[in-house]
Amino acid sequence: MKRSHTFTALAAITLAGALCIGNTASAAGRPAGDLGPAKARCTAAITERQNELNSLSGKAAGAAQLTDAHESTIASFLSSAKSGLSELQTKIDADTDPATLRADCDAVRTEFRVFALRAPQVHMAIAGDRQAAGLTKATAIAAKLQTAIQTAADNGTDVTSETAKLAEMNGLLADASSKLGGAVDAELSVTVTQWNSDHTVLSATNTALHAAQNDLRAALADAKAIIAELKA
Amino acid sequence: MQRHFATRSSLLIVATTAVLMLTACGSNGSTSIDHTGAVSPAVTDSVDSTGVPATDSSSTAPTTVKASTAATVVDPALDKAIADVETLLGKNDQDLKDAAAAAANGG
Repeated sequence: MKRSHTFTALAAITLAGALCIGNTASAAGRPAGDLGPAKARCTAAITERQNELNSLSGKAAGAAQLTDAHESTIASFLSSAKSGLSELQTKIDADTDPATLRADCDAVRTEFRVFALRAPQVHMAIAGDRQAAGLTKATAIAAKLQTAIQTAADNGTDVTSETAKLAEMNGLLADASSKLGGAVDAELSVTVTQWNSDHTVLSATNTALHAAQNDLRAALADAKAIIAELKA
Repeated sequence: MQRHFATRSSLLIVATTAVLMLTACGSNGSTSIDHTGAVSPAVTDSVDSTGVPATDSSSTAPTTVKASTAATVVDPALDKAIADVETLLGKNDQDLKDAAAAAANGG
């Protein structure tokens, strides 16, 4: 009977000790457990941006009208962002302090601005250079229309309407050229720091590209109308 | 015989008169009607004493009458060139949308 009590007492002490050890281990592991989900979110944010950077690199490489100089500028800042995010990922993986981790996680957005700045920069550069190529083609079209109109006039055709439309077309092309002049260079030179202090820093280029787009569309409408009249 | 001679004389007179009228018409210039049915001004080009043709002194503005000839031939390549530029602009629409969407995404 006495041995039985002794055995029970020893079992209770062993269990208590085991529970105590378990609790101690759990308390010691809590900080790591709390940082885990935060680190996972940071990692996901980095992965999302790395994927976007890869996508942007592919788009720039496949953009036939993008000039070599602009492609080089884009490749440079995309590459810099990729390596910067990789370094940040390494740092985040090693973070043990919640405040440091929070700051590093914020840096994923504020130090790189992949979506807010880099993606629009790439898309606008491609669009602007494509518009420049379209402008060159449209200018050649206008020159050919001038010749066709002159030929029609020489043949005794009334070309009053065609001439007016061509003048309007040339005016639209000149306006588009003015809006596109230096626009891509300007927007590609915007830095993360500049964007952080002024979130509207790309607005002027965006507006210019939309206006140039409208000019080119209107110019093409004039060209079509001129051709239709000459064929009538 | 006498009657036959009179007939031949009459025909000769008529023919001569016709030739004279046509000659007079051609040398002086006159109002004429072109093939479009529009009345064109009299041509007053002349040769001056130096033998150099003078400029057209017609007082009317350059013709404003549509020619009745076939429509002006327009280089077919123009239609394709316009379509090419439209394709470029269509792609631009997507890039400008992507730029806006990315900016709206933030970060």
